[in-house]
Amino acid sequence: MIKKEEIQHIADLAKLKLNEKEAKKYQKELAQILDYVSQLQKISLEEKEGDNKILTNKIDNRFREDIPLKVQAELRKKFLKGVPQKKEELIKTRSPLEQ
Amino acid sequence: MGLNNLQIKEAHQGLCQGKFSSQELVQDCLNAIEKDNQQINAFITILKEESLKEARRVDQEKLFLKSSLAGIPLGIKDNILLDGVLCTAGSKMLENYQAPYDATVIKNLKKAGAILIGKTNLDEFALGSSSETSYFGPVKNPHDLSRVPGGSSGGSAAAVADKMCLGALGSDTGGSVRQPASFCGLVGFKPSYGMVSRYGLMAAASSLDQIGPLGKSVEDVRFIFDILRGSDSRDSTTQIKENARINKKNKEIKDLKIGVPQECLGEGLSPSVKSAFEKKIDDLEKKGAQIKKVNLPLLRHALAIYYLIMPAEVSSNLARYDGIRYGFSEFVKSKNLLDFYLKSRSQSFGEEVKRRIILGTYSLTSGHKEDYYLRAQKIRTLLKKSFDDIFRQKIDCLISPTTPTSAFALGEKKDDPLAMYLSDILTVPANLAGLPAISLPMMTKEKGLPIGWQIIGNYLKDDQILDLAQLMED
Repeated sequence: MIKKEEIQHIADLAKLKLNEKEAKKYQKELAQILDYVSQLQKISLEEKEGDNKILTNKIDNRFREDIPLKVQAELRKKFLKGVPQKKEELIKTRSPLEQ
Repeated sequence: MGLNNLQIKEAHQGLCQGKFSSQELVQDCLNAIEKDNQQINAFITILKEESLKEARRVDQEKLFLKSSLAGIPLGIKDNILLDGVLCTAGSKMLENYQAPYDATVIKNLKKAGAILIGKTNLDEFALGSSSETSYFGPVKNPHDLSRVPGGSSGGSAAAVADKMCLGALGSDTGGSVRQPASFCGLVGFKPSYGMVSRYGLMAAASSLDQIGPLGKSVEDVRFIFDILRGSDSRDSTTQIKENARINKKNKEIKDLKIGVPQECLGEGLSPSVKSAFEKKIDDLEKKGAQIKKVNLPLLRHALAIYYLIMPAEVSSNLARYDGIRYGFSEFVKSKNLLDFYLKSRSQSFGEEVKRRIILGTYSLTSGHKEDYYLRAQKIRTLLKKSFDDIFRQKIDCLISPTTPTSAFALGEKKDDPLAMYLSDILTVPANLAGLPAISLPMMTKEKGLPIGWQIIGNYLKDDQILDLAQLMED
């Protein structure tokens, strides 16, 4: 069973604020889901070549030069249009320290 | 009979022969939307003026003589960006978000002259199997309004099934195109991972997501897929050589060797789905196909693998919704940055989205990562290998039912997440292994409700799978 404090800790990491009711609900549901997925613990992972690798699906890594693309003024305007809080072309947010 | 009842091929021929105009075709679809959408709730945004205007252009320039999709009305899932149009992902978070550019698939469709008639409803951020978690209300199944259309591309499926458009785009992370296609009596195709660009698709689980078409027939789905496919420098997973269309000589049913994974016929299958599927196998056998029972023991664990990997990727992809750059923002009432994040996210994400973020964050947290996320990834590799082994035995394709049951009732599984997740048990393996898979409707129904079956092919053999599906379609 997962402790309620642990659910709150996970929520903190995920930047979610849960009320008492939500925390209780997710605590119960997470336990059920983890119980279901615990079937994977029984599968033996032998140390055969490649078995313990993470899937790559035959797709090679693709690299390109890290060159910033020039954004057209019109597109820039469109992106800024959706910004909730801004000052001219700057995006506004809260200070980490402000109380 | 309204023109909206036509299949894409018939509509295309009609347009080319001058039997009707694209404007008339679009108008018939708009009439169906006007008549039924309030009840079915398939569309979040309807692009009435824009589609009629585009149809006029297609008619004037006779674009249908050059492209099979020109003048054809399609629905677009509301997690795919269409420049200048609202793109909500079915979430309060993006209720007022206007897309600043076209997704690559939209660019391709526009170039082909397709008419984008509206944005379709979905589970919030495409996370769900019933289209009930949308902030804009649940979608209803046109075959029975007391039932779900499936999800997460439920709006796309309901729109095509109700003849509000001739085809639609969905996205499939664990069955979100195939499961609703199955529940609504349609064909739904999930291409191989890397066949279609996801640029402009809101990311859910990036190692699983793939855009796919829904339609009334395999041929219709193929028309759309052929426009969607192709490499795109903006989605590096599409940079594969096999992406070009391959024309191969068609096989006949009697030449086929078809594998039936025995793990797909186990517990949880409703008796009607099981007997309908057995009838399908008999039918294929009578037509001369060689049916081979195969075993993929890891299929039994596919859902467990999926429900560790998917939420982990979701929790990281959805971190971008922070209230700062776009979407719901609780700026005024927040006192510092942390408070700003917490308020913006907590007040605008729905219950299922939060559940998956929490589950995903848990499986990635230090202390759990080895046992959950990394272990699931390793078993995923083994699952992929077991598919490779099967296809090495010269099997043309694998078949199974698409879903364990037909469409369930609205509200039936809403409060039981695990029961809801189990409805994806037969569709997730293709996403985990990156394989192409298509759901087709069966002749047999369950109390009037459609039942679907699924063909899974080898990696990048999308054309071959579509050929086989056309061959085996009822």
